[in-house]
Amino acid sequence: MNRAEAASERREDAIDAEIAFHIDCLTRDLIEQGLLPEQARHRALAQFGDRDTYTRQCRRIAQETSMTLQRINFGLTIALGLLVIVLGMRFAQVQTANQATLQSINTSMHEIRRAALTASAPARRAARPATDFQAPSGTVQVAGAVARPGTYMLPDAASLSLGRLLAASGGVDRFPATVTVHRESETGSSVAHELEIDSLERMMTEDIRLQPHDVILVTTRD
Amino acid sequence: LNDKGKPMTRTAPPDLLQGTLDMMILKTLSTGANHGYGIARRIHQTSDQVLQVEEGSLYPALHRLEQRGCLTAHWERSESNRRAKFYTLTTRGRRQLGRELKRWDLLSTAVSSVLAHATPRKAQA
Repeated sequence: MNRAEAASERREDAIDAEIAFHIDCLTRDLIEQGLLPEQARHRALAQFGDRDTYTRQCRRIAQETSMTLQRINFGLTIALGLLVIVLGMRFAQVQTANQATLQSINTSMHEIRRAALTASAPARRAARPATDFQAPSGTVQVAGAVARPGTYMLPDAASLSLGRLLAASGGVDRFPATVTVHRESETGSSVAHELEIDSLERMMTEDIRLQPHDVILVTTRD
Repeated sequence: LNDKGKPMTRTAPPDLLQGTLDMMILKTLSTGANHGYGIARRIHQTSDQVLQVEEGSLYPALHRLEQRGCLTAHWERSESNRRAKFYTLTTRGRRQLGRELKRWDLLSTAVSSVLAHATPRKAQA
């Protein structure tokens, strides 16, 4: 016996039990009213009506209910299956689109990087100093009579002035001082600027724009 | 003997109007859960034993109301300690009862009106 048959049998047993309960209760009440058991049973069955017909009607309704539930279950299963398929397809589409976008971004970045390297290579070669020392790209050297001589990064070459660089290097040891800016060119290193500074204010107001690979020498009179 | 201890007569009680059985079942269950036999007894008692329904006809009606979601059913011990199927009115059943009662009011008012107007003409004839 499969599950459907077992469920059907349980439903039929329940209907039989329900109707038997009714007839038994009615018989008991009729006995309490003074009828003999046999008479009471006979009267109860008559008062109940056609037991077989009502049992059949109840079973048919139960069967309809079961079939309706099965149809709903089947419909929901199909709908759920379709929903899963649609969502799966949509997910695959989104994933493919994302992969294409990522690929496009990677390609663009690679091209930008390659273009930047190609553009900066000649400039780097040209700016290379004739000396053995090669300063890192985008840096300037400060040497001489300053508190912290050394190599300084140019965060933004366009905005960095000589005055700011001297201030960043701790300032000139003594005034007056001579500041010489050596700058690389196609023919090698040459003096681009030379100026006398006699005070702190003058040092800060000097607005000489520095360039990568500039070398600044600070000397005092003593 | 009937429920009041009076002798049962052979005269058939008025038939239950078609379509009113569902309404009476719903109305009976609006006071609380009950089994089929309890519902039959209550209808019989509250109608002052006028309405005599063939009691088996309750069960297809009960099962159909359950199928429509107007009732829910569960098995539990009855007052006689036997397992019985108890029916309970659902929210949908309560709404259905409201609709049935309105329809019944309309119908009974209309029938009363027809009878009230019909009587004098009959007298004249």
